[in-house]
Parts: sequence; structure tokens; C-alpha cells
Amino acid sequence: MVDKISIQLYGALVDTTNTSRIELHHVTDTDTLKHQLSQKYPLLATKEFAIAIDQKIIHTNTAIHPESEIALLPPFSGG
Amino acid sequence: MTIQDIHTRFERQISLSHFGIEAQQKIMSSSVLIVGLGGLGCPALQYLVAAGVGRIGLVDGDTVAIHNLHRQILFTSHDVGQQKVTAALEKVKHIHPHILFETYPEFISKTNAIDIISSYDIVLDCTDRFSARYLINDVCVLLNKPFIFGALYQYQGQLAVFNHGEVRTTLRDLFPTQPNQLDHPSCQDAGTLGMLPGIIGTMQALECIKWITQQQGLLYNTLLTYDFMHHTQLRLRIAKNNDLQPIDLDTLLTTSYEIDETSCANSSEQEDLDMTTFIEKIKEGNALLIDVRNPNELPHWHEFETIQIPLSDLPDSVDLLDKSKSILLFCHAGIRSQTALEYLKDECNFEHVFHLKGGLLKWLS
Repeated sequence: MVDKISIQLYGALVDTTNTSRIELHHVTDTDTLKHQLSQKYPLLATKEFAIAIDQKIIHTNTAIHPESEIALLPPFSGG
Repeated sequence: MTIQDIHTRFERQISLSHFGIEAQQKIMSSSVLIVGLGGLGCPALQYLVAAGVGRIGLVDGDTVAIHNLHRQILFTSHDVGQQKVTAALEKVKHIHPHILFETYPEFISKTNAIDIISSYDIVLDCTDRFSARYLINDVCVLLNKPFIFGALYQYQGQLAVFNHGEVRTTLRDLFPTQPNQLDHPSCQDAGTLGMLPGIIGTMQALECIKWITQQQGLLYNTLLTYDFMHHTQLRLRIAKNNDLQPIDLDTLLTTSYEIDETSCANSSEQEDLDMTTFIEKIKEGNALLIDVRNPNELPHWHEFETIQIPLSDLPDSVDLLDKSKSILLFCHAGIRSQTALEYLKDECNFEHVFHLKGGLLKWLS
């Protein structure tokens, strides 16, 4: 059985993909995740977002485990 | 105010554990700047006045509009057309007569930001544009002031206390570069219910009081994202981004914060069409009119033959589109159609792509 990872989407990214949750086959790090996402959801590649792994915003390539909590957040500006 | 007056007016907050008269006196000797008197700033102002903040500054160059009233409940129909800072002051000055108010009927800009912000202890960023948010961010970093960030997207809200504590994370540790406003809908474009900015603005006021009175649990080095539709929340830790350049006066003065409000979108003016030109293009023929909204969105545009391809399905449908025809894209607010335009042009090499700037919202209202 192949491990899956689950990715939670926020803000306007939900409009872009038409879903708030994406499941992918397990990838080992966030650079690979970004590549996989842009393959499967080409419109996401045109969007700006921060990646959080296990409740922490990451700035560099970071390991992903099957049980990792992954979230993608675009910038919010409304007020 | 006498000590007896203070006890009488504020007894319910003074009696809180870990609060007392000392915390109340800190509030009364503090100064807070609220930038933006919209959905976030109005409730924040009301609660900070009621809590007894000693000096409050109000910055907003806008006037009250009728479409503000569904969420900016400080204002009434009689205030429409008035400067927001003037109308707001008129309302809140009666709540507590001992507060010193300063009003700035102007938008925050590079010209005024350092002067205004420097005379306050803490800033509430209640604005609605990245240009103002990044300017406030950088000026607060430069002047070593904490600021409380609140922002919305449809049914979701965000809250954070930035530039506080040892590590002093800021908005740039989340998104290092100021995003292009045209890629990110404001409340005007994306819509909002009044209660949502009401809640986030109130939470900004709460964090402000916690900062002034040095309470535990301040939301710094953390971004809270609240989903009001499902009542779920996500707390994310923010670490310092070591790749960031330090902010000094020179960088601040040479940064073009306003660029997003003029033209830095990938699409050119020739591709952003107003309704008249858009309809002319339809009537020229040899065109595909594509609705990139989801099927349940209204209103339908019956006047012309449209093809519905929701934005998320566009990559799978590209091969079905005839590149020799003009592609005319539209949606609700012009945000998704612009994303579709950029995708078709940049990723799929379409040459004749146009979109309805501002979407149906702008032209049907």
C-alpha cells in the first residue's frame, strides 16, 4: 500500500483548485511536493502561497512524513 | 480621573485575575494607532476606547460609503460622504471623555507613515491592501514598534502580533515580497459578511490590550487562521526567515509600495477589457466566451453563447480550445478570469486572450 499525504488549502487557493483538501502519494520533501502540485494543479503554480508542515511555516526544503500535517496559505489582504 | 472614578468605570476588567488597577493604569497611559477604519478598525476602536486606552490615533483618508454600512456598524446612513475619521470620532468620543484622540484624514503613505507611527506605542493594521500592510510592516520594523495584523478572505480570517519578542517575526517572514494586489482579492472583490471583520477586529483589540498589560498567551511568532464557516482554526508557528534583507531607512524610501495599485499584473491593458470593449470582441465573432466560475454561480449570462469551464478544470480543458480564436474570459470579480488569462498566455502559449476586468460584479452593479 502506498502512503498518502493530505494537504489542506486556505483562502483563494480553494477557488483555484475547487477543493479545500488535496490527497497525493507520499513525497519526501516540500520541493518535491511543489513540483507534484504544479503537475497536478498547474494553476497552483501561478499562485503565491506559504507552506506549513506540522503547524510551522517553512522557508527551506523540508522533509515530509506520511503523517505530516500540510497546509498551503495564500496571503490575505481583506479588511 | 480619580482612582475612585477608575475603579467605578472599569471595575469589571480590574477585577479580572492577573489584571487589577496596575493593568488599568498601563492601558490609560498607553497610545495606540489604528490604521484603517473599515470592518476591522471600527470594532477595534470601539473596544479600545471602552477599555480606556489613553491616546488613540485614527488614520484613514476614505469617506463613509453606503456599501460600508453592512459591516462597519459604527457608522450610520447619516455619515455617508463624511470623512471616516471624523464620523468615527464623533461616535466614540462620548463613550469615554478622558481619552485623547488624534485624527489623520489621509491614507498611510511613505510621506506620513514614519511621523505618525513614531508617536504611538503599538499599531493595529486594519487596512485592506498589501501596499499599506507592507508599509506599516516596514515602518514598524524600522521604528521597533509592534503591530497587530488582521486580515480576511471571504469566510476566513487571520490574526498575528508582529515584531514583538526576541525573534520579532513579521509579515515578511510569511511572504517576503509584497504580493501583487491584482492577484489577491480584497473584501470589495471577494465579498464578506460584516460579522467576520467584526470578530477579527475585536480580536486585534484583545491582543492589543494583552500586549499593553503584558498578559500571557500573546499571539506572536504565530499566525492564527480562523475558518468561520466551519469554526475550525489553524495556529502556525512563524520562524525568522534568514534570507530577508534587513529594513533600513534607505530600503524603505526606495521601495515602491504602491506598485500593486497601478500596474504590475502580468496582463496588459489591452487584455483587461471593460464591458463595452468585451462585448465588441464577442460581436466581432471568431471568439470563445468562457465563464470560469463554478456552475452554481449567478447570474447566468444568457445574452451570448458561453462555455462553462470552472477555473480549476481549465488545465484539463485547454486542448479543447481553438487557439486561432479569441478567448474571452469572465467571472464574478475578474480575479479568476485574470488567473485563467495568465495561465493560457504564459503556460499554454495562447495569443488572443482577453478578460472582463472587474468581472460581472463591476459591470452589472
